[in-house]
Amino acid sequence: MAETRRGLLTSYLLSNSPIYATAIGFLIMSNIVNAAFPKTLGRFTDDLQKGGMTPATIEHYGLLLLAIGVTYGLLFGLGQFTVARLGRHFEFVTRQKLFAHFTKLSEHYFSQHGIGKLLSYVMNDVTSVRESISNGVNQTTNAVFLILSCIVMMSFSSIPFYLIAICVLPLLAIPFIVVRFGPVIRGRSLKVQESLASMTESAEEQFGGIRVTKTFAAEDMAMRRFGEKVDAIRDNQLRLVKVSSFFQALLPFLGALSLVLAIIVGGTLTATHRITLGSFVELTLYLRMIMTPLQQIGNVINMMQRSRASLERINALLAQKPDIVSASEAEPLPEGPLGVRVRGLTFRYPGATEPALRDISFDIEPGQTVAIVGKTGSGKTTLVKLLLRVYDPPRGTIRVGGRDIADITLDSLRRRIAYVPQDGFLFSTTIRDNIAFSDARQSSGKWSRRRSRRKSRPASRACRSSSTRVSASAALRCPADSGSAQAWRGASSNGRRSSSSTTASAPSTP
Amino acid sequence: MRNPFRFGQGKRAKEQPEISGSYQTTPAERKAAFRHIVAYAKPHLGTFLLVFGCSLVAILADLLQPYLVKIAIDDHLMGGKADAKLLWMIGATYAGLALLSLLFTYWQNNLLQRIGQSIVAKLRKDLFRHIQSLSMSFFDRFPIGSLVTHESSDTESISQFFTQVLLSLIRDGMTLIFILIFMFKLDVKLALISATLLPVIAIIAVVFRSWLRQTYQAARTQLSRMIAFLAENLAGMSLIQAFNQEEEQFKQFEARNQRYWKANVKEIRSNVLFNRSFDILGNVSVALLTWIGGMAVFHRELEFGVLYAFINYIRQFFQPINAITQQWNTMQSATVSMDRLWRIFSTKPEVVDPEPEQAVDPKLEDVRGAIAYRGVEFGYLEGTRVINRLDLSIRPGEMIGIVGVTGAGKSSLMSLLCRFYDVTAGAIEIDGIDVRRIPQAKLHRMIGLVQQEPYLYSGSIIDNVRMFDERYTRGQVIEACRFVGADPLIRRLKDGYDTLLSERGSGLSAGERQLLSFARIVLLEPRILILDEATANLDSFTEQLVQHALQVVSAGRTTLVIAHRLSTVMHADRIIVMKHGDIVEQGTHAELIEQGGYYKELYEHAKGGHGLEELQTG
Repeated sequence: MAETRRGLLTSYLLSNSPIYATAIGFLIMSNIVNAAFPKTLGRFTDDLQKGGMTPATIEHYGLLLLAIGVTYGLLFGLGQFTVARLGRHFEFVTRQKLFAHFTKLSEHYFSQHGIGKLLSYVMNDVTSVRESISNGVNQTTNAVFLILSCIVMMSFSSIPFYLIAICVLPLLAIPFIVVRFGPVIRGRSLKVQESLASMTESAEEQFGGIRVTKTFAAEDMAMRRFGEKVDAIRDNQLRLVKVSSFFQALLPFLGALSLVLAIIVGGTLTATHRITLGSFVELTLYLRMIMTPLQQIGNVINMMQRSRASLERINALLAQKPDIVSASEAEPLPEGPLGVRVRGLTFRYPGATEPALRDISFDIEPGQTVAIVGKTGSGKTTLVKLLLRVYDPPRGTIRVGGRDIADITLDSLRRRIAYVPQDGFLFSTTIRDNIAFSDARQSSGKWSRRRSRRKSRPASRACRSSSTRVSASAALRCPADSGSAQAWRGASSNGRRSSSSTTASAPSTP
Repeated sequence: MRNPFRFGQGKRAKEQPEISGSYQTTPAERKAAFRHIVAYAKPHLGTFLLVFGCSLVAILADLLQPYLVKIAIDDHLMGGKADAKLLWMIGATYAGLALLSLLFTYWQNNLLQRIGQSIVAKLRKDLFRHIQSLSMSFFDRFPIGSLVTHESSDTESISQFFTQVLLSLIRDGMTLIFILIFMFKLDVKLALISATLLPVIAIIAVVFRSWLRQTYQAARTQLSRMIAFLAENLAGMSLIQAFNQEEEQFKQFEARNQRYWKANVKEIRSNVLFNRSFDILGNVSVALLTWIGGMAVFHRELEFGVLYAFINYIRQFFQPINAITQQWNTMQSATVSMDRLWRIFSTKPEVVDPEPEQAVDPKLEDVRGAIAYRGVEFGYLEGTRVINRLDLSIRPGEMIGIVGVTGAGKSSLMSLLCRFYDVTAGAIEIDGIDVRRIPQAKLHRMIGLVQQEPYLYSGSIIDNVRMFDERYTRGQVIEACRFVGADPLIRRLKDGYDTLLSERGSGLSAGERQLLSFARIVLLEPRILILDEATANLDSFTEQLVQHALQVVSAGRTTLVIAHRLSTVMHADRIIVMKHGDIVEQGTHAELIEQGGYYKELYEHAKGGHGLEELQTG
């Protein structure tokens, strides 16, 4: 687990370590400056009490305090800003990685993971990790600085070492408590995230089926099913809070136990005059000072445990190997007309028991038009998907232009094959961009020429000229289509959308 | 159907997707939204008081701890009369107080979460119930994705408002008031001078308010644009891959991602400046107080002890203020969420149940199933007309086929009968009763609708057929499935009737899923049956199976069949031919062919044009 965690976050932290170091430097410096504030005030009150003050020295102290206050504000603000900015930059970089990764995943992956689920990586998980590193850096820096300065000051004081050692004894329990509670908190927060996801899915399902619900007057049923999911979140949240708030209150409690030891042991030592009263007072003050950072550390650990589940999810997603990749020795297809040759093709979908295609063999000559017919589920779509390497066919079964499609770069294979899906999927951009989709870089002149050509002929003939055509009555579909992601953009009807996709396939000269 | 970012199913102009965009609201609306949400906290007033009590005990236990140390020092160690027993007692009391603080902090957190979670759960359920009660026109306007966001994130940020913001406002507000009281008790003049800080704080808050709101909204807008782009790209990923556009889309994503990042940095900048300016103001005022107060002490106008206390109070004064400003962002997102939810809650269903004195509640078994459209006019958007003054009467038990090209108004006719929408003029009657006078739940029990894409829920087959209504027994469900011929198919599945359908029934073929929706009809026995392109997605072999089921199901019911494929409706008692929202012809298949009009044209086109029996339109 530690290795996968190292993946995303650690590499980011490492590559940005100079900036983080600078930010932490600002924070520490602001802490040091801030520590001068009470000291200066103390000196001022002492001087004032002694009566050795003139208006000039009073003014001097006022200005000194002003300078300290403003410097602290600026330094702390700078540190805070830098850390927050880095956190947002982490989000940015991670989203870039996720998107790049999404474009490499196959239809098989998308069919198994709903879009809502994938979006929640980008919306929730990334944010949760960012919040924990930003707050973590700020609070840990403060807490560590305070604890360290307490330790340093204690060791420079006249308090005997063995007394300090006895007093901090309860704090040694912290690692054990973290190890004991950490996994429980993580496990329960994972449950919360899961129940949240399942509520989201349920909402999607019920709103998607609103027509059916309404026509069967089944509103109560839908309400009941959704209500169960909502209640599950509440119950899981409360279970989580039971541990996490106990954990959070436990750390300051340990600090209080340290003070109890200080009172009893230190008090006895003071009473028997083995240490001075001053040392005793100092000891109790330092131990109280440790309380706030202890609280902060509890906070940070709690937060880390929760976001760790998110980080693991992201790392697992990024570690997911795309199943369809170009082979290392793959080459692009040559120019000119291409034929298709299929030999002994048998294909089984991942996880299926029955093959979808059994021992298929045929040839298509360059420029030939071939129609594929058959009833639903007979394998027409599968055949087209294999040709485009949406799924990988067994090696040696499909050849395009005389070459096994596994040896053709994915890029050139897909560039040379144009297809018109059954349900036109339009992106919410201009009609022009939708038509020029296959080559977004092409000039507008080319586009308008294409458009007029398209207008002058029936849609089905737009790309007939000298290209090998495979038309399956159920051509390639979006992964969505079989019951999922079919976005209806704009007001265009089915028919109109399909002709737009026909045109979209034209510019790539298949 | 899995895509949450898909638009509603109506064939009409849709608004731009609003996945998490920002809305402009008037102050009055904001007030109403706030009041609506705060009402959710009311039932928890008692628990809130308990939380208050808990934190009071916890704080007191915390504050008493240093006092105990003081006792140990002043009364015992200083006097030199400390004995071990007393020290042990003080130590034990201290440990007791720490334990008390631990317990009450723990209870406080748990109670607070209980309130927050109860509010969210109630809010989510209420929102769901409300959305469900809205008309189809609402679902045409709001993409499902944004509704899901309302259910999941907006409710969440409102719960944070109750658990974090409210707590901070109460706790820190109280502290602030206490400190002010103490200051006035100590020295009125100095307190008045310090009180001039309040308007300064107010000015800073006002100056920053609009800036903060602006940067926050800007970041939110960029976020929603990026998410909308991403959602769409995920939905169309196979198309992107097939057209080899990964790099191009990545670049476009990067541009949006970058804009969001930049907006974020601006937002951070405004937030840090806001928080730090209070911090600096606090320190500046201490410095000023030191100077002014120091001079006063110097001129013997002020006691030193008072100045010392004042300096401490001023420093403490800024702690709660800082704590409150830390909550600013949470508060802002909660307000935005409140506005967004209010927009939904304040939307009234367009289609409403009749007033009790108007309502007619016919017994289901007495419904005969006569339908009459009288001068019906309808358009989805104002100014456009999909149906023009249409008259049609259907006898009980008649089977009507409705044909016409895409956009002729066939589906709209059905939607009006189900009251997904209300007619703009005219009336639709069932057995002579205006559908608007029948309670919707009853109306929907009278009518069964089977659509092109059967919608299955995640759950077992049994539950899907009986729509999770356990009043129908297992035996009844099996009987219904046997009736439509689905039984052998289901028995072949691994767990038979208990097979869990995942991903909207993706394990079943289109025909099998459609058979299940026919079984639903048989079980629930509506008097009127509507088939909206119910067989369009099936190949001819599966269609035969479904056709058989259809015959069984439609027997004795008034049945309306919409179809592209003329073969589906050829045997109907009457065929209605629609064009541009009008009925242009009607009669039996033979009569219409003989008439040689539009129907014949469609028929010839379907038969001859493609050599197929399928009529391709659009």
